[in-house]
Amino acid sequence: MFDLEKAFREWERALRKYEAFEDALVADLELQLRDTYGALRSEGLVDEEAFRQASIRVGTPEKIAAEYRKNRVVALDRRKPWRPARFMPALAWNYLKTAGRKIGRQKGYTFINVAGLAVGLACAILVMIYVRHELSFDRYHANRDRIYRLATKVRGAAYEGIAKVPGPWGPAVLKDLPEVRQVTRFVFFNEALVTRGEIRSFENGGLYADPSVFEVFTFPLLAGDPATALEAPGSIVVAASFAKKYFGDEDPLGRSLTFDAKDEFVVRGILPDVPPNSHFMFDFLVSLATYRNQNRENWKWQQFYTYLLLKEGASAEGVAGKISDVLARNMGPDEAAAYSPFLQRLTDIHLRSNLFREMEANSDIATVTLFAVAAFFVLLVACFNFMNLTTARALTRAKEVGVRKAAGAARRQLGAQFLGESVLVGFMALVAAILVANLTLPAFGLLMGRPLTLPGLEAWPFWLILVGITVAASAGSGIYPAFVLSAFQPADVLKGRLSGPKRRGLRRALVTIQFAISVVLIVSAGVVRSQLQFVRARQLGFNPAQLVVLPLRDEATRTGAENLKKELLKNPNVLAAAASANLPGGGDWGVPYEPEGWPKDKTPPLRMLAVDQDFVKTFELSVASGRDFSRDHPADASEAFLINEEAAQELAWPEPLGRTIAIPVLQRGRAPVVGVLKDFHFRSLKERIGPILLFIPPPDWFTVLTVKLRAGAIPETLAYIEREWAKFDPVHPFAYSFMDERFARLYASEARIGRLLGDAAELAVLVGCLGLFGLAAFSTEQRTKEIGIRKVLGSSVWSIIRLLSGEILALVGLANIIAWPVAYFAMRGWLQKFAYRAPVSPALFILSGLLAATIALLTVSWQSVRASLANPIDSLRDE
Amino acid sequence: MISKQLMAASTRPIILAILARGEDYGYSIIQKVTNISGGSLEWTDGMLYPVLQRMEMDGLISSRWVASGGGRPRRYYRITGHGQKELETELAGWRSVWKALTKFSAPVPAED
Repeated sequence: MFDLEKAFREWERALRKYEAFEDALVADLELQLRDTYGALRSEGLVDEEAFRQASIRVGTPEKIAAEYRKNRVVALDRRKPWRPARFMPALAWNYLKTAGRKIGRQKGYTFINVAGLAVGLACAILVMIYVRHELSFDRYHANRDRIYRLATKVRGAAYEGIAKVPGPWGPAVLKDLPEVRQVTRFVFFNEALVTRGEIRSFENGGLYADPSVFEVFTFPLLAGDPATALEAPGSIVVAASFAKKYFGDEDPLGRSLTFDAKDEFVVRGILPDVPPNSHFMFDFLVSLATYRNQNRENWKWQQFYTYLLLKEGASAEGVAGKISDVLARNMGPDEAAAYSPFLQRLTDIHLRSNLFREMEANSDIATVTLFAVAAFFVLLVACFNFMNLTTARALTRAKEVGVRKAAGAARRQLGAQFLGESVLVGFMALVAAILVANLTLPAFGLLMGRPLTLPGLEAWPFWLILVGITVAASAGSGIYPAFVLSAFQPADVLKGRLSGPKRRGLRRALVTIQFAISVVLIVSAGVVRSQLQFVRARQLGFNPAQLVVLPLRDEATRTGAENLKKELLKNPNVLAAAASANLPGGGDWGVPYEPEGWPKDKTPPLRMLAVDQDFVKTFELSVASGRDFSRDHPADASEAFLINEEAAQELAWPEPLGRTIAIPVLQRGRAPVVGVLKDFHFRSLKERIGPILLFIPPPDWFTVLTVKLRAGAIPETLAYIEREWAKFDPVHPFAYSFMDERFARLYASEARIGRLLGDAAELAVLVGCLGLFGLAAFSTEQRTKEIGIRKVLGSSVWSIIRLLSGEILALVGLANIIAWPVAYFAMRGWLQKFAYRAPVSPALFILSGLLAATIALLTVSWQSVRASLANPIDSLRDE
Repeated sequence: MISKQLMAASTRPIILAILARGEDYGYSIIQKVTNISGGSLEWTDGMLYPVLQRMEMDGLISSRWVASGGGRPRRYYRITGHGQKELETELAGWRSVWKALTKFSAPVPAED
């Protein structure tokens, strides 16, 4: 059906697009159209045709507008005459005054706006500081774009790639490839007792390094000659705080430090402390020439972190491609074929490398992105608040718009004014946000495990981005309200003809999205929590409870571990004790091995633990078939292996007992499998249980002693162990850790994610509720009269509360329906990184939804209860 | 048909002439022009209003809103003193143009 009035309205709207038309002209033209239409009707044309003809006669808006434009004198600056001047200084002051009054008069709303936005911006600031720190890793090196780490994949190894390579590789690459300018290598320096006079301390922050380290990396020396500082054996370069500790105010250069009471190292250089944004850190460097190890020149012993400095313009891909050839020339093609060396850009290591044996645990880009997204969501919720409140309250400014328009303000000017006000509020929020961020930064840094500080003004791009975000957020949220406000027709508003807010659809949509975001965050935090609980509660296949791990820190304690064990076991509260070279929880080794019946290059990956005869008993592992290691079989000490069920499966040995394995790299000759262990989690639950092998190494390989304590007597037993320890190892201080805590630490980054998601969820809910509170207050205020009348006509308090709160419940319900699938799929993705996952229970979703609904309801009900209890006389008597 | 140029040139004098007979409003002006010219002078309705506005700005005519019987108010235009003078000048101009034109287009006498 043709709707005539609608057609007229549309026609009028088309006219209004042209600025040349003022209200009076539009009225004139509309009348003209109506008259023409009437005439055509009386000539017998039907509705639609008459309207069409009439509108053709009157002319297209474009043509009419063009005609009007001719009437106007074009000013010198080509400004259209109906446009106000671009800048009116007199008005600027007026705008400020208006904004100031508005803020002063509506303190509550201003507070909600500013606080919400401030929380959002504070999140943004914290995450920006964190992201900035993460992205800054290793960027302080002048040659950062030309430094690459040499890493390799090893055939048959259980890892994807390893960060260390054998010692001779680096120098060979330097010699053979002209594109490589310099090579420098690092080897970990074992914990050592450092003494100088009265000062004695254990230090484990050392590295052996090539003299070229100062050429490749930017570690400027405060004193000493970088070219020769690490040349001679027994040379050491120390960091400033390390020097301070041992030398105080003395000049350390040329003086010596005693290591492990036997080695004298002479200080040849001092460097500033290594910046924390480095993927590896150290307190001191010892010349690599000092390094004594029989495998130094072994082409297959992977112990050297090797960094290449390429020549200007050399391509990393080109160099990487040639390294295999270098290895083949030096090791022979057969041996070299086991290795697939590759290069990693220095600046990619921190966020994008997760190789086996990284120098320090790296971060990863996914986590950084996750935090950025969470912060963005909180900011988004804050922006929606802002939009909602401002649009809802637009009505209170209708008169102002009317007056300004009547006085000649153009729509564009009003838009700019309101947008300006939004940005002003944005900057108020920014100031608050910076204060909040500054206060919470230490706690946040602690949580993230990073020394985070607010950047100074020299980091102007940071501040510029922040101001950009503030402007974008406040202008972005202000643009819609500005649009709504500036669209009021002055004739209408000044006559008071504007009825209640029409654009409730958008507001509802925004509230729904806010709650959807909150629910997604709540559910996500819940899933992470439940997974962590699942991980902690899971039967690991061994019992980590009451297991205390004591490090064996030197040769004497390692070989003497057996005696200590005997002493400790005299105490009835010590149930068992085992020495081992490595531990479950990620310490396992993986080297090439040779199982019976398998060709050399086809062996499945296999992990290894080097343990003593008491390990299985102490860790409460179960033997599936065969037997445990035993002192009754002396040959076990060098000629026996235990494997797990998974290993038997992988090696396709239905009858594994008696099958033989050799590990030439570890000087283990061919020996039989004497027992099969039930599968146990020797890694985190992120990984599927893989094949593993246990063997007994020579006693000097042992690095830890694990002691099982009786539950309920732990403090006194620990005290007993400490006393025994002091007799046994008088040099090193007593140190211990609990096995279950060590295992929990494997999930530190997940725990951190859970914590942060929880915080983000709380903030999103908080900010969302702030907004909701404001909206509820406003709409209740708007409906005061309605409520009064309802009550007079007999409405009950309950029905009024229902009336005011019902809508919110519906919106939160809808938000849940949107949020659940989103959260489900997002968290399913996250759970993929666990090989063993907690089932995602529907109850979690429902509870999160109920939580959001309850909070929302509590927020609005305060307003609705107050409104419904009010005496109708108060709201109606002035009518 | 009348040329575009002539139409443009004649619009203002015709409006002044119509208004000289009395107050009137836009739609009615257009009707009158169409009727009197027998359809040969057909103004696009929308074009009239800008011209009226221009003339008002130039002080030739003035307008006021009059509430009509049942509904929307209409804008009525009337000629001003200045407009009267302008009309006289225009008429004089048009008359001399007309005179010249008819004179020249009359059949040429054999001897003149």
